[in-house]
Amino acid sequence: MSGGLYDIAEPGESTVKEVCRGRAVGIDLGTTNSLVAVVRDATPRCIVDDEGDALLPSVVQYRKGASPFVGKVARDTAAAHPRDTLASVKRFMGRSAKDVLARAGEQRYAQYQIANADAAEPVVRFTVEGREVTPVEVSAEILKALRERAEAELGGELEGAVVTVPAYFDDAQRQATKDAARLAGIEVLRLVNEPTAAALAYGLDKNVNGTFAVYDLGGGTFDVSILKLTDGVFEVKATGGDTALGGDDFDRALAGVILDKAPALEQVGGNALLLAARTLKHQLSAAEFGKLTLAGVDVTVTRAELESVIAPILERTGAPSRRALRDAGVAVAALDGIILVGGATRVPAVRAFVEKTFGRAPLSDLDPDQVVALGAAVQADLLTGGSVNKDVLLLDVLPLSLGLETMGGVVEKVIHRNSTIPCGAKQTFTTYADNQTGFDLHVLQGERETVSGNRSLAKFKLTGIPPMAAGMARLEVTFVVDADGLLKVSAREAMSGKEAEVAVKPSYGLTDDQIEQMLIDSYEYAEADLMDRQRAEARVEAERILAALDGALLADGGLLSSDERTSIDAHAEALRAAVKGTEHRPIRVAIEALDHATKTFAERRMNRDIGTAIGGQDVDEVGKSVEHATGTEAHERRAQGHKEAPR
Amino acid sequence: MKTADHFVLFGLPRRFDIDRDDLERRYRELSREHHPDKHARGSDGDRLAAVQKTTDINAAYKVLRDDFSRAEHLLRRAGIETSEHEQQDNRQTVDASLLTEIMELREALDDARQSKDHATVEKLATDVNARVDKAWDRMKVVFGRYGVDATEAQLRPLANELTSLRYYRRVLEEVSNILDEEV
Repeated sequence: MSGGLYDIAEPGESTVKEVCRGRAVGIDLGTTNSLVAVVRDATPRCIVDDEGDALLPSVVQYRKGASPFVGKVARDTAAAHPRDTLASVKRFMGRSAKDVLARAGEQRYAQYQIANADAAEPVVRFTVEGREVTPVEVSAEILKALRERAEAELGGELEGAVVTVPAYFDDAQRQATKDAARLAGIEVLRLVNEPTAAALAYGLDKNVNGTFAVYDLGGGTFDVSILKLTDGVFEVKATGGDTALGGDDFDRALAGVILDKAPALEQVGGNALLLAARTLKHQLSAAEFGKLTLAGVDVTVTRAELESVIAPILERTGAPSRRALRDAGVAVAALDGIILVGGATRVPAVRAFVEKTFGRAPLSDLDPDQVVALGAAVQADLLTGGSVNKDVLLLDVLPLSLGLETMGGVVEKVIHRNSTIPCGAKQTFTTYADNQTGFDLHVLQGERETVSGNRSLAKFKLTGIPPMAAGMARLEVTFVVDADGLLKVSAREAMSGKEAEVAVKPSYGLTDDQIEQMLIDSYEYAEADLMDRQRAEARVEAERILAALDGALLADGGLLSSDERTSIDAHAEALRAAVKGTEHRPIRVAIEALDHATKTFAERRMNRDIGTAIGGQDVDEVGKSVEHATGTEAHERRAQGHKEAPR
Repeated sequence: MKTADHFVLFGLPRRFDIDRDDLERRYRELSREHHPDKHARGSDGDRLAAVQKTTDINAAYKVLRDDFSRAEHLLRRAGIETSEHEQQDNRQTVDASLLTEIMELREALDDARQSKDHATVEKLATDVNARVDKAWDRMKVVFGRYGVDATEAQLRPLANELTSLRYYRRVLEEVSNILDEEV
C-alpha cells in the first residue's frame, strides 16, 4: 500500500476542534430510546431529564404550526395522532422506500404514511401534518432534543459528540446518521459502533484483559462483536448482526398474541396495541404472568406464550453470532465473558438463549440501556484530551465487505469485512472493448457475489480516457475507509498520461452545502439539487466530447485547413470556458456550436473511412453506423472503424 | 507495482517464522502512537498523516499475522508473483492436476450442498484442511532452510504450493458459506 492512497482524502474533514473539556458528550441514538452521557470527574454518567429519566423515547410527533414534539409526550399521545407520530425511525436510516418495503413487507409498516413508496428515490419520506420528512430529519429532531438537554445541564454550547451506530450499519446508514447530527447542529467527533462503546464502558469499569463477545439486542437492531482487550487496547476481531431485528419485533409478535386472544382489539390501532405489548413484555421480564386492560378488555399473557412467539426471532441472532466467532477465529470455550447490551436483553429468554449459544452466563452488571451512551461519553472524553485513561484505544472494523461491479453483474470485493479501520485498497481494472473512453463504476457493500444481493452505494463514470486497444487501459480504483467507517472512492486511468480523477461521495450522502440548504428552505433545496444535477450532466457530456475531439484531431488533424482548425480550436476553447461556469445552459449551447463547427471535419473523416474500410466491411453496416451516430460522438466511432479496418 | 516491505514497518526480520505475541504487541504500540484518535486535536496535516500511517499499519498487520498472506508477501519481495491477476497477465498456467483436484472437490461440495448433507461438507473440510497442513509443512521446510536473504531461485518452488493453498482456501471459504446457510 503506497502513500498515494490518501491523495483523495481532503484534510479538514471530521474536524475535532479545540474543545472545552466536559462539553463533549456521547450520544446513543437508539431505535426505541436515545441517551446522552458525559464524563465528569473521570466518571461517565447519563444526563437525565426533569423527571430524572435518562431515556428519551425516540419518538417524534409533528403538529401543525408548532415545533415537533420529541420523547415521552410524543410517545404517550401517539394513539391520538397515529399518522403524525413517527417511532423506530432508525430502521429507515439510509434506506429508500423500496428497500424498506422489500425487506419487511408493506403490512408491517402500515402505520407509516410513506410518501414515495413507488418512486426510485434513494431516501424514504413520510407524510406528516401536510409535509414530508426524511428519517434523517426525524432523527435530527431527536438529536436536537438531546443536545438541548445536554446544553442545559452543562451550561453552554455543546462542542461535539461521539454518536453511536449499530456495528452492522452499512455505509448509507452511517452517512445518514452523520447527516442527522450535522442537521441537528452537532459536530460529530466520531461515529463509534454500539457494541464497541459498550465494551469500552465495561472494560474500563473492570480493568480486564481477555476476549469478550458483546451481544447487543436493541429496539430495532442486533449486533454481535468479538473483542480482544489488551492493556487498554480494545481490538474488535469480528462483527456481525442484522439491522432489522430487535425488541420491537418482540412487541409485534406479542401484539399478535393479544389479537389472537381478543380479536375485538383490532380497532384500537397498531400503536396502542404495540404499547400494550411492550407493557406486557416488561411485566413478563419480572413475572410469569402479565396483565392489563385495554379498551375495557382484560388481557393476560404468560411468559411461556411470550417465549414461544419470540423463539424464532431469537434464533435469527444465532447465525450472525456463530459467524462472528468463526470470523474472529475464536472458539466459544476461549471467551472470557459475554457482555449484554440493549433493553431487549432484559427478557429472560434472551439471557437463556445467549447462555446456550456462548456456553456461559452473560455479564450484565451495567445497565444494558445506558452502557452504550456511557462508552460513547468515554470515547468523546478521550478524543478531546481525556481525563479517563490516556492509554485506551479503540480499534474497530468494517462490518460489511466493499466491492465493485465487474462484467456479468458479479461483485469483486476490494475491502473485506472485518478489516480494521481506517483502511484502504487499490484495485486495477482494464477495458474490455477497443477504444473504450469511459468506465462505469458501481460501488457495492455486502457479502454476496452478485450485484443484486448487495447494497448499492454509488454509481459514477470515469470518462475522457484516450482511445486504446482493449486491455491496455489501467483503471486504478481506490477505496478509503476512515475512522468513522465511511467510504470514499476515487478512480484514475494510469496509462493515458493525462490523469482523470473522480472522487465521489455516495449519492445518498449530503454535502455540507446541501445540509445548509436543508436548514434554510427545503423547497429551495430541491431546486438547487436539480440545477446541480443538470450542470453536472452537461459537464460530463462536455468533457466526453472534448476528449473525443482531442483524439480525432490527433489522428486526423491533417484533413483540416489551418482556418478550419482555428475555428474548431476556438469553439473547443469556448466549451472549456463554459464548463467552468455555474449554469448548465451555456454548456449546452457551446456543445451545439462545437458540434456545428466540426461537421465538415466529421464528414471528411467519414468519407475517408468508408474508402479504407470498404475492403473489409459491409457498406450497409458502415452506412448504418453513420446514421446512428450524431455530432462529435460520430467522429469518435468512425475513428474506431478506421483503426480496426486495415488488417 | 512495488509493494512496501511490511516487515520493515513492524521492525521485524524478513522471515516466515514469526512470534505472534511479539507481532501483536508491536501492532498495539504502533496503533497507540499513530491512530487518528490519538491525533484528534492535531492540525489537519497531522490528522491526515495519522489516518494514512494507521492505514499502512493495518494493511501490514493484516498481511503479517496471516500465514498465507505473509508467505505471499515474502515471495513477492523476492520477485515471485503468485496472485491470479499477475499470473493471467504473464500467461502462466496453473498445474492441470491441481485444477482437476479442485474441480472434483467443488463437485463433491456442490452435491453435498444440494442434498443438505452436513456431515459430508464437514468431512470434505477436514480432508482439505489435511492437504493444507501438508502443503504448509513443505513450505515451512523451505522457508526454514533459507533465512532473511532467500533468493528468487530458492523460493521459486514455493510458488506452486502457494497457488494450491489459494485454491484450497477458496474451497474452505465455500464450506464456510455452506455452513452459514445451514445454521
